[in-house]
Amino acid sequence: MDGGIERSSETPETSEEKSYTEIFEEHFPYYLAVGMTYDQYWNDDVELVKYYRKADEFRKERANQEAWLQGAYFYEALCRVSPILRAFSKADEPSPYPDRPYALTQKEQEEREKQKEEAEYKRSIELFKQLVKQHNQNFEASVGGQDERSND
Amino acid sequence: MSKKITVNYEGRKYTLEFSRNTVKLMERAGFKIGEVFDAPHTLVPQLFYGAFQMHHKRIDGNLVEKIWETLKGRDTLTGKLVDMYQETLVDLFGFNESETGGEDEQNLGWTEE
Repeated sequence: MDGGIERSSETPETSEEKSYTEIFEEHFPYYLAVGMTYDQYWNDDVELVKYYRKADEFRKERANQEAWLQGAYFYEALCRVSPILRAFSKADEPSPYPDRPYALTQKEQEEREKQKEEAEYKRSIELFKQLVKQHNQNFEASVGGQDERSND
Repeated sequence: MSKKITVNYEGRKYTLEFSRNTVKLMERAGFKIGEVFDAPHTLVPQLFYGAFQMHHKRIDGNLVEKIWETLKGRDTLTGKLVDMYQETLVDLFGFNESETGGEDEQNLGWTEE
């Protein structure tokens, strides 16, 4: 993770004794660490630092999000495998690991929902077909039995 | 807040802006922004000259003086230059800037960008 780099919280009001140059030099390593070049910091538009700072915030948020997600996967894996790790457990196999990653975006979630609905629809059609088939078999069997009895 | 000022002098356009490096060089030469209003006669010309250093490093000091003499609204310009100078530090801390401006558009010989 790229945390650990903290800017000085010093403000111009608390640094009256210091010259601008001293304050620039104090902050320079932070901006180097977040990707600014020497030339950008010292010779380019003074406003650039704001965007590098903002970009660094985004990077930290992203790193935090990724760490959280990794923790969530790890937790889930542990929960799925834990039944077989217990003493005297009757489970002889762990639950399988999720077959695909979590849906993170709204679009992915909607797609998953749609796929789930389609799968359920297909399953119910299959079930219905089986029921019809079974019903037909039962019907044929009962009709066949009646024919045999009438022939007798 | 504007970061640049454009000055037109004898058909040539000059861009006034401060970088951290020009501020560093000015301080090394003894300039102190906090004393500008206490000793304007010496420090304001230095501030004005320093504002040329980012884009016109080799400009002659006499030419800068001449340009200064032709400009109108010099008090306002000085205030803008002080703001621009301070921006080099303020941006490091991410303070919200309040938009200034609202000056009447006049032919002062200089314009904010």
